[in-house]
Amino acid sequence: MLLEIKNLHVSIEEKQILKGLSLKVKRGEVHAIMGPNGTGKSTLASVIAGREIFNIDKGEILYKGKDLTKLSVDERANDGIFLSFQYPVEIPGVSMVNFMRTAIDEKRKYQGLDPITMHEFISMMEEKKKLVDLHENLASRSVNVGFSGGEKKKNEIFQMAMLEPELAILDETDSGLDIDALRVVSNGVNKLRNDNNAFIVITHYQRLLDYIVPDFVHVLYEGRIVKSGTKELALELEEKGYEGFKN
Amino acid sequence: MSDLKKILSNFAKEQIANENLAGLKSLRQKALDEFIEVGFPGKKDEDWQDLNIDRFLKKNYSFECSPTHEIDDFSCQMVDIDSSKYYLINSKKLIENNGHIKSEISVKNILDTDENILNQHFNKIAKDDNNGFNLINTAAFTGGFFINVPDNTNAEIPLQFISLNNCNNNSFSNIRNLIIVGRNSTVKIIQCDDTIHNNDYFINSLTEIFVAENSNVELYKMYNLSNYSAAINSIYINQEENSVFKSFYFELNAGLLRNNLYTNLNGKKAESLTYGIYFADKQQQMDNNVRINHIAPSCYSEQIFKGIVDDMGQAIFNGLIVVDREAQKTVASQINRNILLTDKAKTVAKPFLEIYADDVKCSHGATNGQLDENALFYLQARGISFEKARMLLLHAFVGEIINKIKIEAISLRINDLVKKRLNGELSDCSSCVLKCSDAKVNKECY
Repeated sequence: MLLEIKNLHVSIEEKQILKGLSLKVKRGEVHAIMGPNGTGKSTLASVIAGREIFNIDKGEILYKGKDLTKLSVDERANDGIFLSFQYPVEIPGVSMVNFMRTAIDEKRKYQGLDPITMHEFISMMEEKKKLVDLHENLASRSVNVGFSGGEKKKNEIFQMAMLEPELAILDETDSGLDIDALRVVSNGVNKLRNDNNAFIVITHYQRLLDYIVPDFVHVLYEGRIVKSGTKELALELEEKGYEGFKN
Repeated sequence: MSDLKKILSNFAKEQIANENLAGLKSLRQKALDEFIEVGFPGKKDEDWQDLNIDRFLKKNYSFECSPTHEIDDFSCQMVDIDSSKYYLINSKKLIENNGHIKSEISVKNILDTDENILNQHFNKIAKDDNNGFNLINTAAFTGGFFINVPDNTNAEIPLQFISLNNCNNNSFSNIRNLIIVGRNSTVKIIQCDDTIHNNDYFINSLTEIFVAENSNVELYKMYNLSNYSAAINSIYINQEENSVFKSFYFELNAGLLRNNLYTNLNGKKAESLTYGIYFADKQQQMDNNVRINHIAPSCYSEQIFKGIVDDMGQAIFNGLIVVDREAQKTVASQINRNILLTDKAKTVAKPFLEIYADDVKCSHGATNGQLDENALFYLQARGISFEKARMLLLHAFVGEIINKIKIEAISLRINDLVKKRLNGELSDCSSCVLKCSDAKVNKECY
């Protein structure tokens, strides 16, 4: 089991958001988590990534069989967890190249490897840029600054491709994307799918799941998974709306 | 009379007695009389009230010097850059290290300057700011750089001026520089003040710069003094028509640093660009006082000062843009931004505009903030440790200024020094570059 969440209760400033969520993810699987606004989808993503503003009140998160909550944000990332942000942050003055090279070297250090050579890094970057159709000269661009909504999401998938995570969480990667960008981003994800990694795809809409076909679909409602099924569940949701799953 | 005031006055009297030029002798005497009357500026003066300068004025300083160290590489020097180097040792002696200087430019000790030139230029701008430090500088200065760039001179290679203190005792120095740039000339100047030892030094440096029509001057000023040092650096600039004066201030380290930057835009279409970055930690104070007088029409001025304040450090910014009634079509802006890293770090920002013309575009602003939490989380979520993420963001914050440096060798060097500073390598001890391996010295520097 790559990820196992048991009876997770999470709150922020006394407000309970997750109220007993359980989820199991194996390598090679794609899980979609759907649900209306404010039910805790993004909170779940942030908690797995390690954002400290949330309190874990009860339950546990096991990653590769270990207690994930013992690891810091950067340790989780270096151990293979990747969060594709719903709202990627703009960081003026930090170039994409410097950012990615630092990230890759931190991961290599964590794995006990030597830093990447400039030559290796550049060819790796050129290869991964193609995957998501990024044409920017990343050496001169600050992280996400001046990127359109679509470019920001492509940039998230590009970073994912560079860092080769074992567990990737895509937090509403489809929001704000037109149909062409959605196709490019989904193709990128599909090419990165393999037997050794797993994806948790968080979305409002069934649309994304036409492109990234999930093995499992979960309905998250009021802080709990109220129904799980296969990809057909997404179609059912699209038809009936969330109202039908309240109980 | 305070001890220091008395000692300085007595020292000034010796300088006056030894002064051979009649004009300068009476100027010195007049300045001393005024200094005795007004003393040092302090809490009572609006422009100085936020600076805790008394702690440095109470120390014991001497005018004697026991030099111990040969001139060698030291921390603020631009080693890799192709430049003509001049050293002013212990505020008295000028040493030339002549490389590629264009023969038309003359560099002398100010004490050896022609009387006519002094009569025309000396103290002509600084007299408008009669604070005690300027007065005692005029009365008691012991040396300084005089740089004369004639008309139609295009100096490609920068001139590097290094004021180096290698006295192994506490000292108070008054340095006086004069820079005259003729018409249609271009010159780049790198200036740095440095101390070799970690004694108590007080450096009171005053520079007047005259930039004639159509000339272009770049000044890069670096400070890397020990935590026991205080420096008052006053620069007074007169700019004529169509001239451009672009200056950078890299305030890397000092116990206390006060920058007085006063510019008169006397001729139309003159441009003044002023950029500064500063770092204050422990109990350091970095105080930038900038005044731009828009006297002629259609001039442009821009100031950006950014700083990082840690521990119990303090940053002060006083900015004043004055637009005279005649100075129509003025475009002026002023920005001060700080990042505070602790609860005890302190900043004071007072940006002021005084506008008497009606057709102008002026803006000013100041911000104080912490590091962007969302950006920190984003970087950490990509595997970058908190410490590294913090460094990246701090470096990016001051990077806006470093990126404006067009001479690559300078920008690389500054980048390197800033990284060292952010890593805490420079703040341990300013002369660490010389004596890093000496654990005892490094311990003392804390």
